[in-house]
Amino acid sequence: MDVDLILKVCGVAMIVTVVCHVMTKAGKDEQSNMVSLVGIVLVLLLLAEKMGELIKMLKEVFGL
Amino acid sequence: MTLKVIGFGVLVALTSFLLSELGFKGKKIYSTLGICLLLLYFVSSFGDFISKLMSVDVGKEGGEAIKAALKILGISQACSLASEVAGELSERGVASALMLVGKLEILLVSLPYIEKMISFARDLFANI
Repeated sequence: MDVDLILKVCGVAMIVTVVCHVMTKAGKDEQSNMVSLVGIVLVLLLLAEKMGELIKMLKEVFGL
Repeated sequence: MTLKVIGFGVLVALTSFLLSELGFKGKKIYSTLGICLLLLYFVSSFGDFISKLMSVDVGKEGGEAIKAALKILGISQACSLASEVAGELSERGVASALMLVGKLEILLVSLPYIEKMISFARDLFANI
């Protein structure tokens, strides 16, 4: 079970959130939005990979 | 195995709540990732059992019926997963469309057996 993966993603998300807050407070809203977007894209890419694996496994197991 | 799954589920829920409190905008994507990982674990754990069930020798027709039943189970699980993911991301329209597609596909797979049932019922009433 990928407990490490979910904790890593949580860690990355927390770092991204903190960096976004700091940048917003420093008046750099655009950069803050960019960092937030990068974080979301990273998680989205991981999700797409795992969804692909899951669908492939469902195909193999149930013969779809 | 159950304890691992329970622990993992609670961990995902807690970290998801923590991220929403911190204001991470991709919190829903994160919780969807957690759902995918849980289901990956579940399908990989029961995959061997389901493959063995599909290879059980119960005659030609029985084997085909078991395969169809497992196919229907797989379709229902895949569609309900996709629908829940869409619902989690607040896309109710997409979720409803996915459920509809799943139901139609299940109907298509079970059509030969429905036809057999109808012809059996017709023969039964013809003989009475």
